[in-house]
Amino acid sequence: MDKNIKILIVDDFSTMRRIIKNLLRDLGFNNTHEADDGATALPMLEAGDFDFVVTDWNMPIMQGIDLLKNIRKSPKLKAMPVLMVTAEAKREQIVEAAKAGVNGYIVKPFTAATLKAKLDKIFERFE
Amino acid sequence: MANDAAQLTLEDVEDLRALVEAGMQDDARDALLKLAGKFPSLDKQSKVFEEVGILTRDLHNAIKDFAEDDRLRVIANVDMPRASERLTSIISMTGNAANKTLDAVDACQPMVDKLNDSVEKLLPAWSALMHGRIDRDNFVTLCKNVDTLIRDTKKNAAKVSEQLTTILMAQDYQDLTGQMIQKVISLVAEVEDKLLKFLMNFSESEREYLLEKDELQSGIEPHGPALDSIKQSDNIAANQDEVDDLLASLGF
Repeated sequence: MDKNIKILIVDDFSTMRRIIKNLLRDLGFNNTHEADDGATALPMLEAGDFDFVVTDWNMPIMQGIDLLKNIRKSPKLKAMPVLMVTAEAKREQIVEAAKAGVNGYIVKPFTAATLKAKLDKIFERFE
Repeated sequence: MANDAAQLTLEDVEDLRALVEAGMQDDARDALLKLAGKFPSLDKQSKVFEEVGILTRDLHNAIKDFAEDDRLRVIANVDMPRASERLTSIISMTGNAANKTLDAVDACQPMVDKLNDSVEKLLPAWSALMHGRIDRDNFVTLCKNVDTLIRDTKKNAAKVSEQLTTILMAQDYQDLTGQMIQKVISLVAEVEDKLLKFLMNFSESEREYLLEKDELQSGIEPHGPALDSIKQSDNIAANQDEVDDLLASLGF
């Protein structure tokens, strides 16, 4: 797995962004960037050469599910792997995210081992 | 009225008239109600009117009590704003605690990394020494490196210990936010109680109806972390394993 891939972390709580950033760093991923909601993230993704997105669901302005749908609609971004890390755990929501083309779904609170397992699974499929 | 066997007599009317003329309104009303009782169909209607009357009076009283309840005025003007203030400060206190802890982790990480690197670098020479295969120059270098490692470790151990204390102290929010949350919970319970009493005046099943309606809200709207009281519901994935099972069933 290429540890230099450029990752965007999208969450409205800065502490959660820091936690994910630290966990990713422990796993060897140092090229991480942050956005505080979907509306901020989408232009960053369109403009930059990101390889991977980790996003929350419940955020102001543009929610994670809408960010995911927009990514899948964009000709440039549609193949980008997206991992959802969220407290939303209703079956309808998980099904909705799956239908929208999410690559992994982690419910908060989560452990470092869960994050590693989901990342391995996602990249295994992309390599 | 055709079914009513009883007859209205001239005497009844005269009695009523006498009472009205004497200004005895209350007695006149009672006499009229008694008369109505003689006619079953009329009586049924008057009972309906009576019920509606009672309901109207209850509703009127309930609204009046609600509007004049001093406690409610205190709740609306003082307790509610205070509750939002408490909740806002809970967000900032937990945020500060999380940031303090994360800062401490960030401060410790390079020291731990450095310790690990130094030990890695020492290992080949150390291993040679342990097997008695080391020359004088390498031995001197090893001694110097071990000396540096000991000094650095002593210095950094003190720093790490300091950071651990910071992490420990950052947990004091639990006690403080716990007390604030308790206050908000009792306020919410009190308001719920008052609203329920108010609603009970109209319908016993109101609460069930409202709960049901709330449950039916759109399934994919964000709800935030699932509460323990609704986690048992079949509709909520209680943990990561259940999420994985569901996704697997969808072909993931």
